[in-house]
Amino acid sequence: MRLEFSSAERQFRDQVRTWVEVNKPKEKRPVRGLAVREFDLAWQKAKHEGGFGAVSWPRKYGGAGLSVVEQLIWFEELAKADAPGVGCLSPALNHAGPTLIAMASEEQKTFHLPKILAGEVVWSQGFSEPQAGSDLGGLRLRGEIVGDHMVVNGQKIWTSYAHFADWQETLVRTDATLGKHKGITWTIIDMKTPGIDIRPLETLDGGQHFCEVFYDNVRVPLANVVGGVDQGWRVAMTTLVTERAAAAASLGATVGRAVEQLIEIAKNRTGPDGRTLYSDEAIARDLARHRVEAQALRAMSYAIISREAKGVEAGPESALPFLYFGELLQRVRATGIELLGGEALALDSGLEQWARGFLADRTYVIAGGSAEVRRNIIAQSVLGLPRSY
Amino acid sequence: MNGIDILPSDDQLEIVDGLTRALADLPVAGADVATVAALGFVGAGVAPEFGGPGLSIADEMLLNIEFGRRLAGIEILAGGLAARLAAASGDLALVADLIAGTRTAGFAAPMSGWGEGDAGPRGEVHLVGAADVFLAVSHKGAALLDLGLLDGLEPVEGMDGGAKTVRAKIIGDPAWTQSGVWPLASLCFAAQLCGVAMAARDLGADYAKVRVQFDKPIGSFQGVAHQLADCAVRAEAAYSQALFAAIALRDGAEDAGFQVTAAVLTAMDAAVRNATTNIQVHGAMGYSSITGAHLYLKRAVVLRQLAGGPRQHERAALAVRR
Repeated sequence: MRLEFSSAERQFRDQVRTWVEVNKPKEKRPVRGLAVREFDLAWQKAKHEGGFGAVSWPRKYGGAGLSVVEQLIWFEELAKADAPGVGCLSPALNHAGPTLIAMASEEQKTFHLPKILAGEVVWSQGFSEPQAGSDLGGLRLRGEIVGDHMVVNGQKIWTSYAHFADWQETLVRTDATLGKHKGITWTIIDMKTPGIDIRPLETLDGGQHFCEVFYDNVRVPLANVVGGVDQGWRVAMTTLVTERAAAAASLGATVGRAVEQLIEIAKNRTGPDGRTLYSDEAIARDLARHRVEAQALRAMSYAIISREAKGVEAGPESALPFLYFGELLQRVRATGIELLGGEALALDSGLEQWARGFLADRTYVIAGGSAEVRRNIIAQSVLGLPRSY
Repeated sequence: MNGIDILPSDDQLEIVDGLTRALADLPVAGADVATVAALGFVGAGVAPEFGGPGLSIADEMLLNIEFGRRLAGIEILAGGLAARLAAASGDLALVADLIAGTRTAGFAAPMSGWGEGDAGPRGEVHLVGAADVFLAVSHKGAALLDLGLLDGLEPVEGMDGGAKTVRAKIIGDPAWTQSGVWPLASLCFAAQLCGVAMAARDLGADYAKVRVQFDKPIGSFQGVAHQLADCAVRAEAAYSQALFAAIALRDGAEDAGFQVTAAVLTAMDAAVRNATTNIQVHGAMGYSSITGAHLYLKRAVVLRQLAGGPRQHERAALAVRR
């Protein structure tokens, strides 16, 4: 049991802190429009040039190849500096990229990975469909092999940033006779291919990243398939199943920082009775609990990092901090909106992060495995209970 | 050697395994202070110069998770902490007796806090544990009360049937000693609460696998399964934070006080809620005294109160600069 950064790691922290302070974007991230894409790509370019283009990717593929502890330090320093996240590049950096690294041909890697790293392209994730949400295996987007192409017909939905994505990682049903999780193909689709129709949907916080994508005889070269036709479920699961240690650390650091900001807000705002909100016993209690729970989340992610640093394969227990994070964040957001008082009535005030964030962060108990699905997974794989659905 | 590895080392796991194996055949709540003293685990953290085995704070924390899990005698923890205080005040005979189990310690818990001022422990208390001396411990300091400082002893039906409980009044003028026992005590309470939370989670899950209703194990109903999943999350939070806090306290980290407070609050929440869920999952079996599910909730309530209750820890957690 030890918790002591080495001198090299402490040096690395200083280096990261200085770099982030100098290079983080000076202006606020736009809420909507193409400006979002430009903002996120510019931040990615800056990170790439600073050598932090993809901290978890191996060096061989242009990543920073950081150890898990260095990744932890990186995310902690980003959070401390209130630096923005990867935004619309999340599908590329956190999912498509790692999937390509694990499963794609050298040719596919050489073509795509450098562009992702350099902040030149945006990817979207074409997984969910109207009839396939939590039960992703129910997907129906049809793919018919014709010569050296796959002809794709059907629909995806909730595809974030599809309207300004260059590429999409897409799950296609190439054989409907094999059963739910067989007969699925993981492919790369060029979003400029004729036959693709993208219709943005507004999210509950006024965001415009959600899209419906319709495919009408979209011809995808078979050379774009990763991992083989009908092998897509396995390909998708390589990066969906393991929720990585560094990601957990990132969430812990982010929510911890948010709680400290909230405590500052409570000290500086007065409630209806003229006292500071901080002196209100009920609010003080909430703030204390948020602070403690944010720390417990940090401890949970350090436990995962400890396992990973020792080379222990991530087990089902890595699902625990993600559920804890999602639900803690909802409580923190609920306190946040309460502290805003009348300011809560405007989404674009100086406290925008707390008004809009209250709405936007509902995503963390829905996307990428809803809280209910996560509980099912924990009940089954951590506690060994019989399947409950 | 530095690095980030908050998990117990193989050596530490071996120490805990030694205790677990030795207690394996005892029933729930069957590990008493005499048994554990004979194994050499009472006051395991007392330094060798005072006659103890000198295990680290982190080792002591891990042992207390096991004591909590087994609802071991409350006198075991009280004895270890009292031995620390006795060592600090130079009473080596008492240290030796507590470690050997020939004299035992319990806790003195105030009815409603120790009041304002630093005068020392005063007023009405509940004495918890079958003991010769009672440890009063709080953020103000610690004091050992022998029977000469206690009056009007009246046995009561205790919340925790496994711990003898007596109402009494402190007489005389005992003073608080600043001995550093409070942070250690808090960490050990957190560890025991964490153990209770883990045991309740496991018992609930085990029962949900075998209890059949509507032709299925009740664990296959999401209304049950999800409550147990929440138990797993709370136990993991309590365990991880207990590890984190133990390291901080052992190494004298700047934020050790906050880390211990966070461990206490996380574990209080996990223990009480998991124990409640375990009773709920057991249904009428849980409501009856047959299964022993009730013992975990009662122990959780007692430990939570001995640790001073959640409010003072919440205030401390917010007051600290982060």
